[in-house]
Amino acid sequence: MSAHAGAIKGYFAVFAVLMVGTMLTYYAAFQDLGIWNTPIALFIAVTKAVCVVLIFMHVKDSNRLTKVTVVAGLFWLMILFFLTMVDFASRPWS
Amino acid sequence: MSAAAASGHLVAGHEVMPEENYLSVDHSLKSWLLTVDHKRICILYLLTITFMFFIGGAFATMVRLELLTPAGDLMQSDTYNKAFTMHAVFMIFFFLVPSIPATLGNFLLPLAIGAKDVAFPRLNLLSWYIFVIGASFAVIAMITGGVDTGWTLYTPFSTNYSNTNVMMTAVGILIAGFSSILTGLNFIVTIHRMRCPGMSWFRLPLFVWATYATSLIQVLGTPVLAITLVLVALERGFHIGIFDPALGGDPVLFQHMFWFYSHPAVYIMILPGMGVISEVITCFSHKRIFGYKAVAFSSVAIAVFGFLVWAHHMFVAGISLYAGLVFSFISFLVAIPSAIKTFNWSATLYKGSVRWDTPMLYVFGFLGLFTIGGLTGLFLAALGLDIHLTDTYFVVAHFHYVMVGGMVLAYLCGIHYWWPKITGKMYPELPAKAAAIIVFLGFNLTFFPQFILGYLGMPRRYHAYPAEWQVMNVLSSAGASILAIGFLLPMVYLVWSLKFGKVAGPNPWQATGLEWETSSPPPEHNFHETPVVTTEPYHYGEKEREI
Amino acid sequence: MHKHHFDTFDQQKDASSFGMWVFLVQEIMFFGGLFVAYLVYRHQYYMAFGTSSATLRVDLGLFNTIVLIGSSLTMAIAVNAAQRSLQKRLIAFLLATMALGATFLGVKVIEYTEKFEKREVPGANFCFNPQGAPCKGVSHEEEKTPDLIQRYLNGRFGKLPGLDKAAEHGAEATTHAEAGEAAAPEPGVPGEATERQRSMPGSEVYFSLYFAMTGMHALHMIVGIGLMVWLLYWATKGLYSAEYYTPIENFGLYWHFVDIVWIFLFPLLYLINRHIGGHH
Repeated sequence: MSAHAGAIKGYFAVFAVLMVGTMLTYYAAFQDLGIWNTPIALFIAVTKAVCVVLIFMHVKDSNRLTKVTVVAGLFWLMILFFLTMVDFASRPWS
Repeated sequence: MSAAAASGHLVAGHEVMPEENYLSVDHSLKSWLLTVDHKRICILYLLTITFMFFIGGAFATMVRLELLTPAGDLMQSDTYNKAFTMHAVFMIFFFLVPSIPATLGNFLLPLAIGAKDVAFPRLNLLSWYIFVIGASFAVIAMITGGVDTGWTLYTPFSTNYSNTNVMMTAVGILIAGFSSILTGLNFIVTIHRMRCPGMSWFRLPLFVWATYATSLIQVLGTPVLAITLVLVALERGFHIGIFDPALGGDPVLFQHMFWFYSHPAVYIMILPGMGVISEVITCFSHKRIFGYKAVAFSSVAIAVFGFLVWAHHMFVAGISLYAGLVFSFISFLVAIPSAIKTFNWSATLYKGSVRWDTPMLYVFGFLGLFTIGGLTGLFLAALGLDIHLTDTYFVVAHFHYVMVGGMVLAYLCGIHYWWPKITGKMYPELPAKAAAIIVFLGFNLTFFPQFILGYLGMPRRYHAYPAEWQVMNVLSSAGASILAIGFLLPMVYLVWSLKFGKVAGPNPWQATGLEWETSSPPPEHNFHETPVVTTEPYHYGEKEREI
Repeated sequence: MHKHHFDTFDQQKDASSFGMWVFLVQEIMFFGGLFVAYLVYRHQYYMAFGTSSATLRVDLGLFNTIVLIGSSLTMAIAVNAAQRSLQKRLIAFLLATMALGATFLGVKVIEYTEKFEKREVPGANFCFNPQGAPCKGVSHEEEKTPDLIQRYLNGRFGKLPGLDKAAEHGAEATTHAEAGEAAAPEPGVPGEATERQRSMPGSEVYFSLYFAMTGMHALHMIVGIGLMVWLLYWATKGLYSAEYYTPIENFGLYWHFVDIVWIFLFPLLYLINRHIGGHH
């Protein structure tokens, strides 16, 4: 991973992106976008999280094992979400 | 592993104990309580979980005594509820989950991959202390009145209605859970980062593969149990009601979250046992394992599939029919990797030179009982049949066939197989064989009648039952007393062997594997020089050909 | 430099970093339990979640988001400083990270206090009824915050229906044959619904989740600040340099993870259905 002065510039760039994303999600929340409010908010949040993971947490420059670990964690989270919703989303009585 | 061939033909009994070993380094109590040696931590766990096993066993005794007669003679429902709950809490969270990983796993993992220790030795010791703290909470909860919710801690009973020590027990389980997570983390990093030169993934012993799969579940599943218990505690203590139906919460969500961990946890409790069986069956067939890669990958497959099937515990809890269908279907898939293992083990026996030492007796016991346990699991995964069998003794029999007939037998198998390595002494063969047979007979007499009782409709978790079921219950209780003798015997002769057992030598079984290349008991840093692996595992056939 | 059981220093560094990532996977699943509960109830109580969410102070939430992202930046710079053996900069940016973390927690205290004042904390005293009668005791400006908290505590432990009563008479209740029957829930005042029972259905679940999620997040920050005190101590002793900075790096991963959790909590808790109520 990059342990040099240049990395700092990248950190500020990420910080700027995160700030823009925060403002954007704040602004978008007050607009009536129909069903799109939540997806847009989540899309912005995911984008911000990806920036933090890749740059602040150095995953972009780390080995394959680290990348696999991150993906595995998210995959298992999706199992939890998806299979739980298989039940709750298909209940005819709620 | 040519060194294995050299040391592999030394005959037990002609050996002397090595002067320098991990036990003889220092005899002070401090050296044990502050040790970071994975082998000594194995011993610490061994003592702790044996104690836990006897607490759980005491409650099992109470349950079986009460069920001798149809009426509530010894206890009424309140006490009985506590008895079966405490039996399960101690056996599951404080014995089965840590059993093989924390003892044999700790001892063997670094040895089997040619490392000096696990990746984080101090964290390893910390895990034991955390476990002891968690166990202490559970013991205090037991002494100060116990808990009656069942080990499943279902809401809203656990959060709103039970007047027993739910909080203390939940905290104990939560703490022990962190110990389990940290052990899993330690093992995963160890397997990835600490393998000796030449020890590629497909040269890993199958016990290591099984431990790896187990560790994955521990790290991925246990945190969900942890947060679920935190929410139960918040609801009980502070009325932060996430599951409370009176506030619009859904108790079925609790069940989803609970079983997201607790179903995979069943595989935490069986996978390491399968690892032990893979090692022992090749050694005593003196033959290469049949289908190495299939057995290795089926461990990982069981770990992954285990996360996809949890709601089969909830078919009658009010999940949607669609969800029931999905989970039922996926549940059948778990049978595939389990069957792959069983078939490969059986095929390994074919044309092997089978020896009938004690560990092998346990292997045969395991094969039969695990198969019964696994197949009856398929009955329960079937949506329609499950409605009839849910919460009956059929379920109780099913999971005891897997957990006791599978895991506890594998645990005893592993303890006997590696006892010479851990202590440097041989256990006495005759009483050991007797104990193995007593355990097998006692086990079947205890739990087979329960299949029938369950099929006839006897519900679990009741202290009283109609008189026509008494015969089967008496048989079951009689079996339990035989089983108890079978479990007590090893306690006696294994302790006896510490002083009077024959000196084992480095490799009494002529087994392959790095742990058998070092002396017994191993030196403090495991190997005098870092081993280099040059061959496939289980090269039993080749070894003869070389000679 | 490396510990005895590792062959090389690189192996040790690799193992520590990988171990931290495995730990973070564990953290993902831990918070995942809360997020799945959120998902289920957001699905179930769509409107109640929107209405309840509108009571949160979105200005404070936005401020805290900026503060926390800022602390992630200072943390990243601190790690970079450690990697380059810039001792003073490391200490300065650790301090900055701690200060920003403390600011976040301070704002959280203000927000929590307001929830107590408005009786929007789950429990016997809970009352959330935007359409119906106003909750008693709310928006009396002459009453001071500590008094309100005191009243809340009194109300909760003094006259809680069902649960606490059962707990008080626990010894007596266990003598009954069926525990469930003994501790059956009873309404606060017979024949009349309490303010809690009249509250908007699902709103208490929302606030329960709000406190569980932000509380668990805040707990992680408190632990993080505690760890930073420890790191700061060793940083002033000059322990960390280009040769050895693993603890700083691993802590950085933890801190960024906590930041990511908040990146999701902010829109999910504060920003849902803002457009319906117009502006705050």
